[in-house]
Amino acid sequence: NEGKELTKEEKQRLRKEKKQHKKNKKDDKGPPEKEKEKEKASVPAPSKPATQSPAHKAPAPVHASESAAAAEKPAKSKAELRAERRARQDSERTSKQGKKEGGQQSASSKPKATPNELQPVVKRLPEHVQVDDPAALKKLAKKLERQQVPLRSDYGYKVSLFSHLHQYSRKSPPTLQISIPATVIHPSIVRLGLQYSQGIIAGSNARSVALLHTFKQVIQDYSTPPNEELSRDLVNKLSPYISFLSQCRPLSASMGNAIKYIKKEISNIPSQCKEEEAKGKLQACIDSYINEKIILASEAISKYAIEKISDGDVILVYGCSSLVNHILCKAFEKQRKFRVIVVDSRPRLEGREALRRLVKKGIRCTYVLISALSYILPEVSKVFLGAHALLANGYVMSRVGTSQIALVAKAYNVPVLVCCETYKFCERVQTDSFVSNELDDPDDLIVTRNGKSHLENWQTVKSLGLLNLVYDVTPPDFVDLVITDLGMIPCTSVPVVLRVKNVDQ
Amino acid sequence: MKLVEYFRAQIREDPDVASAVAAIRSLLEFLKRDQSETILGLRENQTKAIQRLEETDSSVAVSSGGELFLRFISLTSLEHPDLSQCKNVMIERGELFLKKISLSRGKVGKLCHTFIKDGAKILTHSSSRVVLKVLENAAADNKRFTVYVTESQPDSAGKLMAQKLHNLNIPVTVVLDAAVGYIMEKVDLVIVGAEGVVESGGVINKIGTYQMAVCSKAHNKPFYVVAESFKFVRLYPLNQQDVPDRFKYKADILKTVKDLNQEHPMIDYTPPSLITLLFTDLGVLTPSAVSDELIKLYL
Repeated sequence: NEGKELTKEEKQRLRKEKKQHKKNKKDDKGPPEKEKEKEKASVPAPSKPATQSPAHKAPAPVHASESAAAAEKPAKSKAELRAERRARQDSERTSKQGKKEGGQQSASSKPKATPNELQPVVKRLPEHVQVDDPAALKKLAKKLERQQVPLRSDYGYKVSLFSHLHQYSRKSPPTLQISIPATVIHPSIVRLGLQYSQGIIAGSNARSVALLHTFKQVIQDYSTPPNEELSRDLVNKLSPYISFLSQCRPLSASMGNAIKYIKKEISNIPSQCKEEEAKGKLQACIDSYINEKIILASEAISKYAIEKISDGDVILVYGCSSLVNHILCKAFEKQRKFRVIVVDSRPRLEGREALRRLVKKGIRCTYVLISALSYILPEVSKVFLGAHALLANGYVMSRVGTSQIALVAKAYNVPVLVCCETYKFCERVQTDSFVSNELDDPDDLIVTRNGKSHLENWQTVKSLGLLNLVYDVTPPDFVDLVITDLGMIPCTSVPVVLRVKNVDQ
Repeated sequence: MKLVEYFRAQIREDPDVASAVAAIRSLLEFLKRDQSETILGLRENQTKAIQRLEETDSSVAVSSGGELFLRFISLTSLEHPDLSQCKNVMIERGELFLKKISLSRGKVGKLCHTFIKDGAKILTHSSSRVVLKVLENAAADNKRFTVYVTESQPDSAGKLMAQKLHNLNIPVTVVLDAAVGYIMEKVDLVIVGAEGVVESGGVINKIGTYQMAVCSKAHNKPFYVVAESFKFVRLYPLNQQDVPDRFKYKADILKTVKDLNQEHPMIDYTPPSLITLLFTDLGVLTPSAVSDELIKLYL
């Protein structure tokens, strides 16, 4: 295939051919989850197969194999398969009445072990934590091929505890495999992806804002094909872009929420709306989202946070959080007398950027590396941390090193305040930093001093693995206060905020 | 000011009433006599009245009760074209609020007394009318228990509490404030009242409560707090220093004394990690649920 985007008919034809091919080769192995794709046969493939099966709840089928079901395309027709499955479920339900609850619970507590269960209550594991599962990889490869997005290959030896995550090298961006001009993927998306993968745009807020601006550009250049509705077609146009971006760098929680919002707004466009009007409306929506959730939120958070900063305070910050820097600058403008200790860590050394911004404002700063933390903490009166995401069980996901700071601060009885906008709250639940994380380029750990680069040939040593983690997760016991645009809440009240937000929407 | 006199008269007439309830009664009376022409004027006068009451009695409860009262009466549709109608609606809501909170102490008492087992030894701090009600209910339920009360200097409020318990025929012993660590191994549970319940789930109470909480945590004894819901306040102190000065000292001291560092604070803050359960008229809550309730009350 060349870079030219296949038309809808061509795609459908290709799919039918593949199906026939499979049907001749193998038997159907299990109730497929790809069935949902057939339901949406009129629309080119959705980006994520839905987890709900069209039928009622099913008890865990004993033979739900991890391998086969994912990779197979069903050979029989939709109706036949549904009837077959219903008969099987009926027989199984009568025999396994009691095990139903247990099966569901164990399924939801161990989704990694049986990722392809037919439980509508179990959320499908995102593919970016299933890298060691060949079936999931095959499925992803197929999806990307269909969307004509290049697949990025992993790089280097991965530490075994994190072998379920992707590890990419900065020297091989996914844009290498795209032909020029890229007609399948919008050029500003290509540029954005490159900026993500090279680390040019970093930081949760920066990435979300860049994403939203790029989507504005995409919407501007979009034109509805004939016989299509904008509300449905635009969503499907965005899917390959999102896949491409997640190949460049895994999406953050804030980006995920922003994308959900945009998709909802697009699908709510009434069908009789003219294209120009609809595009204008969407652009206005995106602008208001950025304004409300990011800019005004940071103003509100600064207002609350400044109440907590008293004269004579010694504030410790870690890394470079745009929100925390904004708060400190605002507090300084309001004539509060305080000084700041910036803690930094390799390999990103983001603290230097924070240091630069604060010193430019005129704030007195001290700079230490994270290894000096217990030395400097007796001087500190408060710790201000930024967050990448706040999880539904109250855990704070932030740059690696944050949980260390919170732990030592707790031991010294220093209050820890986390500042986070509400759009970064996500429904996920995580209790450790292994399950879902991001592995950065391991070559970043190579340090060159006095002309000598240690670890330069780390790949030649078979038993050596370099681990460059990006995020970690802090339990709510170590966090005293979370400052959000809704007010100051304890860490355990995050689910309440999520509930209130869902009611609003 | 007539308002302040009314307030003081209320407290004098009925010493058993919580200061917040007296404050709310005064505010309601003030509302009835208010001559403003606009709703905004009414609200502003109410806010000013609350401030004046805070200057008289600087407890947290007055401040929180006043704010909740104001929210409750204005949180209704005031779309009537006639001002007197709106005012009547507000007065009605005010009466309703007052009735609700007058009953709240009874509700708390009913909830909590089941946690007192037969033969229990209870430790309490200073004089709290809610704790008194709880113990009264438990005694009426024919439970046998003994109570230890701390003296609670500088105002010796503990002795007052001991007297009241003695009148209820409950065996009571007064202990020194310094003897809390000594007595903790003997007691089964600790029950204290609260002047204010803060957003984190912690409580603000008479000085000495924090010590008692730390001791009970060290001995693994349950530490219960009983409080009515109008004491929930929108503060979030991080530590003792973070509690605003206007609550720490009595109102007259704040006005007359120059250097507050020489004064002794009257209250302290107990963080939520030391509290086992809170008994309120909204139910039995864990400290983390307090924030949930506050969000419901205020948002």
